[in-house]
Amino acid sequence: MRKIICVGNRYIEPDGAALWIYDQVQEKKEKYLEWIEGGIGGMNLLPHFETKKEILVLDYFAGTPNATLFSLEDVLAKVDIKEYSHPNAFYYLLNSLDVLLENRPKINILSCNPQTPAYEQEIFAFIEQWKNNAA
Amino acid sequence: MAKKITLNVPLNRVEGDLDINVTIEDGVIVEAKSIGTLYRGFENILQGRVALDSLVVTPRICGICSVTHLCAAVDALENAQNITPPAQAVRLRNLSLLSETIQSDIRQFFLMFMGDFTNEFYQDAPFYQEATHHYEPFKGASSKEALKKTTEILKVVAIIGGQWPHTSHIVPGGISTLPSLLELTVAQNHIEEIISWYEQNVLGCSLEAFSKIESVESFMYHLEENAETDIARFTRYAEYAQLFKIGKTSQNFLSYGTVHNPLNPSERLIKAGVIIEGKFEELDVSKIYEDISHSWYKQVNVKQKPFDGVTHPDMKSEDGYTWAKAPRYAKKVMQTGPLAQALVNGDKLLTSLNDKYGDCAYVRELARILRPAIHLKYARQDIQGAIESFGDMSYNQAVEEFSGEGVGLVEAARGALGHWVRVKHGKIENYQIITPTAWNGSPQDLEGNRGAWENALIGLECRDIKNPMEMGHVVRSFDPCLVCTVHAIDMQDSKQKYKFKIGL
Repeated sequence: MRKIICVGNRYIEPDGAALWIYDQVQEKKEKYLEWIEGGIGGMNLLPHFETKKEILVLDYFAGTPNATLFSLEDVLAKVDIKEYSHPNAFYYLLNSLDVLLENRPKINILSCNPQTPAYEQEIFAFIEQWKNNAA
Repeated sequence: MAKKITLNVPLNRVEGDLDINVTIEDGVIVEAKSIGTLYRGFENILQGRVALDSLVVTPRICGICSVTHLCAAVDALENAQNITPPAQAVRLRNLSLLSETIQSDIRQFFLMFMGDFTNEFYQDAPFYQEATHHYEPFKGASSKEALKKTTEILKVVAIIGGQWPHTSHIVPGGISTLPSLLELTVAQNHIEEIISWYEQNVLGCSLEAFSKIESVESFMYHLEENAETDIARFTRYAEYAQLFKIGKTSQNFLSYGTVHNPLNPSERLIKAGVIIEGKFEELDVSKIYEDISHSWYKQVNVKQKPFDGVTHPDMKSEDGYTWAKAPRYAKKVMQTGPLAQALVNGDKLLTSLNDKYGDCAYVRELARILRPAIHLKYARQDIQGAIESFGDMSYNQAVEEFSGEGVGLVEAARGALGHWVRVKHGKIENYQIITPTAWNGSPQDLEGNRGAWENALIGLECRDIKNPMEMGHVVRSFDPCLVCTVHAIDMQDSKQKYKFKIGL
């Protein structure tokens, strides 16, 4: 079992790209995946990381090709977060996981870029492969 | 010749972006404008939708006050249909709202306000090492512990709501989930755990013992006796930073009250009301209106009652400088938030502190970190009541298609939140939302009255304009959700630009 957390503001273009992916899976039943609407939950998403399941975070990254996979370490190295604030709360949380959790799960982040034609198909193709790799 | 400088201070929020533009003469702020920089338009998103869609859309307005918006949306629909929820639903709603507010108060204090005291601005202060040990971002021992504990309290909402975040478990007529007895017991354990941590670390005594402290003198004595608590450290740092003297705006306060009585849901156990120029009055919702004279909206009707409010964006409006409207109560600028809530409710300690020091940044922030002392007692009471009443009905059938109008008034973490809705044949005809930040961060009105924190900044001395920490303290004491990257342009040399940070 793996977990996918979709974050972003669904009412802002293009920030809501991961949530629009989430909306599409509501019609399906996924046996091996748990999908979470993280939305703009920010720091409040901490309970979802209190797990041993491998986690894939879906988020929009400006200027990043669609379906690019980053490790958590890569992202934290690129995102310069020095303090807590509401807009950066989610990445403050990711940056705090090592001190908050005794054994944090493996986390990767997948970029969703809705400016890419057929970006949903690329994302779903990646997830299908990622899911199968876990089996 | 006086040196005049204009600073533009971006105070970004989840709900939107917020800047403050100030003019400084000889180190003192002489003009301040609060600027909402992002048009949201949720009111227009909701028009034409089925009434119950507001339960799905409005919790996604804000990631921090998600349950609060849900409560306001439900209150408005129940008010329109004259529906009263059953007692068990009221207890579980109270618990959901209280949990969200408690986590917000604690996180704002530890992660946002106290973090400022670890800034290099205070590197020569006697408390600097101590503050860094406790409150440094990511590393501070107290801040890390506060983050863990606030996660525990949010699990109460997850248990009751069955989904986290952006839950929609509160519906007109009650709640849509049925937590088991075991789940309620787990929720009770989470509440008791945070009470224990809060008593030991923040207060230095039990909730009951603290409620007996009613005067400034006994409070200061308590701090001396409990010097290693968070409120004692905050008070010492605040004295050094002169927070007792800065950030005052007015003695006009607004609170919608909170914690509904399960046996009489129309009664709020923390009462609603207003204080105008120091005198308490019952809340009269008909006195609320929004002034758009300095907002980027079509200037058709400059003073709008919320039920008739319209949201027509127009950045060309002549005097406009913000997307925020300016809510007013009986023509008065009001401040809202934990201090307003405490004063309206007649809290003796905060009333005596306000009498002695005024609505300064210290008293306003102290009210925030003391509020859980009240809220946790109600949470304890409601979870015990919910366990004892397990199995009782928690939903009354609501009317599916109706016409009418209603108002939902809720006390959010940052103060008074109101939703006004008009429904015709089951669909939303008009929806208006007035947030706490609209009250506190409003622009000027037609009469030229500045908004609450605009006014609080006037006269403020900034010792270092490249790191205007005093501004950060004042604005953070209203909790507007800010990041504080400051861009400055020296008006005497418009080519010279600086970029720097307030706070951390």
